[in-house]
Amino acid sequence: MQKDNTVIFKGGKNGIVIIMDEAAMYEKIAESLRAKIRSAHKFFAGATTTISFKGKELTESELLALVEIINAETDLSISFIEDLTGTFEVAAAKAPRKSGKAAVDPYFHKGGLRSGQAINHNGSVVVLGDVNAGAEVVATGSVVVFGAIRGMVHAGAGGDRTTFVCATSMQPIQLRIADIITYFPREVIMENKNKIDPVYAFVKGEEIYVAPVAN
Amino acid sequence: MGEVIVITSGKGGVGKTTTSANLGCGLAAAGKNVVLIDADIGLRNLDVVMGLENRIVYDLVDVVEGKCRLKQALIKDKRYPNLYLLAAAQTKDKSAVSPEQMVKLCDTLREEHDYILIDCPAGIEQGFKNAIAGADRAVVVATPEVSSVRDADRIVGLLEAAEIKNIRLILNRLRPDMIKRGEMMTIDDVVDILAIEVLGLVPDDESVVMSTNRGEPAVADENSRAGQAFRNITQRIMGHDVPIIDLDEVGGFRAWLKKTFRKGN
Repeated sequence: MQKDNTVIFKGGKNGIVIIMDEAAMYEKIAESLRAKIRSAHKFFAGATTTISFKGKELTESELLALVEIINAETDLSISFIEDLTGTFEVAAAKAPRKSGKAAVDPYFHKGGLRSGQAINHNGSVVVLGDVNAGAEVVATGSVVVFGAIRGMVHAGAGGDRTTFVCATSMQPIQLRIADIITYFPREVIMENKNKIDPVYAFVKGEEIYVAPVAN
Repeated sequence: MGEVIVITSGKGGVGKTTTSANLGCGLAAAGKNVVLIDADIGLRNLDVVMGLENRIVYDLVDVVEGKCRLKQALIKDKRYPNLYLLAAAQTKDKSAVSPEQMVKLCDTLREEHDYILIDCPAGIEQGFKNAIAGADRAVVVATPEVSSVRDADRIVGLLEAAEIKNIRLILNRLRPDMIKRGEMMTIDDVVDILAIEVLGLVPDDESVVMSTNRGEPAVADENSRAGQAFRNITQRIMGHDVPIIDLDEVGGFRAWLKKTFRKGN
């Protein structure tokens, strides 16, 4: 049988790199990926690693579908960061299931997120830097930002209302915790703009409240 | 070895082409050997702003396709003999050039010229990727408007991902009077968000519109406030330490009056 090179796995310095044939159709890539993962099951087994996709530019929905394949065929639970060069980095962590709640490693991101950059993680996220307008952090756990939140942050994306969002300067365009969405009035954002004032947002009843961390 | 600097912004209409033309002329006036590349294939403008549109014979796409030699496509400026323009093709589109071809072109130009300035098209697609491919440094142009700053932020992220280390900001069309009244984003507001070093501040200046339409960049105009700002930026690009001008100093007629009277005393 001819060797299938549509999808190749490689161990890179930042985890596993999945190199896709640029000329291949998306359907062929998905099919090849599924077949390869099945045969190389051990390659993925149980490791905590980062996965990145290279070689072909994918739309977000195509990427999500590929991640879904990896999810279905392995016991890894996956989250990803969009890299800007058209590569998508996937931080994968094995999820020990405890009392029905996903207790995975938090994801630490050193540096800020600029417009168009996103972190999507199954677990909590810590960002050392600003989350700028146009950037997104979506986490099933809590989100802590050592810096300003100006973009969109969603904590408890799986529905966990006990999660919270913390930042040293809170000026988000929109904030979501579990199924609750709130936006900040312009005046509040303007007021928080030049202020370093660590606060956290949490759910009480059916609403999102913001309180100083110090209390 | 010359340096390749891409002038970019994300958002259209913030002054990339005007900045490119002015910095090109400024560097040439300072005695540097400069090439300006218009990377906006299909929507070329730089030739018009430079007043050289009637001299285009060969363009960027002709060069990469091998239809002419690089030297044949370099249009000599009418004011500075050490300034050249490589015009964009108007009848093609961005896909006519690849990032690899741009890298090769930049490397060739680098051998004989001090500065290669690339006027980047708006957007983050193919044209942007081409324009930044061969660049050593990047100058991000933004106006103090939320939409412009948002796009600039996206662009800085993309430049960082492309491993361009030296990224500086030019804040264009500043209105000191509006900033004072709290009606315009301040320089600090913008720098807070973008977190990159400021290369220069350019005040809003009607003379730029006039000089752009005439095809004579403002940098050569001794009486233009924006021209002065561009001359300072030119010096900073060459590595000279020129303090950032206090915008109140160029605050218009009233400031000029004040200054004149102070001199008189």
